[in-house]
Amino acid sequence: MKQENEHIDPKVEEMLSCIETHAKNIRHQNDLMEMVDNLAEAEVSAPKRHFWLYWAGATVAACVALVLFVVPKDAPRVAINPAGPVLASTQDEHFAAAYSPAETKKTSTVLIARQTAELDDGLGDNAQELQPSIVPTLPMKEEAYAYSETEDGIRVYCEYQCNAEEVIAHLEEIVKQSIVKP
Amino acid sequence: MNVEQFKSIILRHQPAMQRMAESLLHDEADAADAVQETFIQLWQQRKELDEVASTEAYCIAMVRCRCIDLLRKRHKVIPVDMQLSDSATEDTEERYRKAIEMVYRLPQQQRQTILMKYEELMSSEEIAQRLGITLSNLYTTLSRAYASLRDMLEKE
Repeated sequence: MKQENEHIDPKVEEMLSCIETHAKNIRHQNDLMEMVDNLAEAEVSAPKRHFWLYWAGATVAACVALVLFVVPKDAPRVAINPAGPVLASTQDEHFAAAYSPAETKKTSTVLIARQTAELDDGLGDNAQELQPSIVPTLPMKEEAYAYSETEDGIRVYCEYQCNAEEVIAHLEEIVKQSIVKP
Repeated sequence: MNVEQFKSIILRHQPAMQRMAESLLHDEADAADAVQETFIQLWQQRKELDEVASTEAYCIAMVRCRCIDLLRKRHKVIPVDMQLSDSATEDTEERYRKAIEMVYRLPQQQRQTILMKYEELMSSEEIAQRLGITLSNLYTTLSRAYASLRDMLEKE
């Protein structure tokens, strides 16, 4: 009975080994071809994946920028400046408005400075009169005002039941509507 | 260099690279792995391949370096000089052509078993099952094929 490991003539073995090596090379080449196809496919797919990564990153960056720079904050846009800027005035008087940082979101203290003219002792009544002419639509706290005398004149402080942003917006709107001229 | 051009490089140089790797590593599987890793590296550097004068020499040099690195990691002795002759590829092709030519001159059953074993790389069990014969019959057929090939070689 013949066995598989029967002795083979060396020359025959060498010849058959050549055929076997050729066949193995063909197999290796086929494997390498498939590998190259996969590598090429991966390179094509990578930009698509990168596109979505870049898009996601850009979206996150945009959201962060929105929160940081667009969403209104409690921090005042205008730093308190006793001398101005002049946001509203009447025919006779000029008022400079500035506000201090809101202590809460619902209240703010708006400084309305009357740069000229002197007020009578009845400042309380005048203050009440002043306030509606400047910011007529905003609710003012009752008796929430004070005044002080400076070189510029009489300063009237009016406290409003709203945040500083709304007060400034109203003052700017008044200027835009040319109700008073700066 | 596009995919098809790169594949043509594989077809041309893989046999020589495999021989170089096997001569250094003395293991067919390790050699195949080294060749595959070299081709991955070549793929990543394929733009530089356009500027290479001899891609065959470049590919063989790369696989040789990879095999030497592998031998160093295994703390094995590195051959001082292992270079394939320029005509090695042509000799191999010529020997293969002559071998196949002789095999095709064998009787049908002997030819069939030789090709299934050495070209299709099937095991003895797989050949016997495919042909519907016993292992003993297969070994007998192979023995006769070896004798026939020996006679052909002696006559040349």
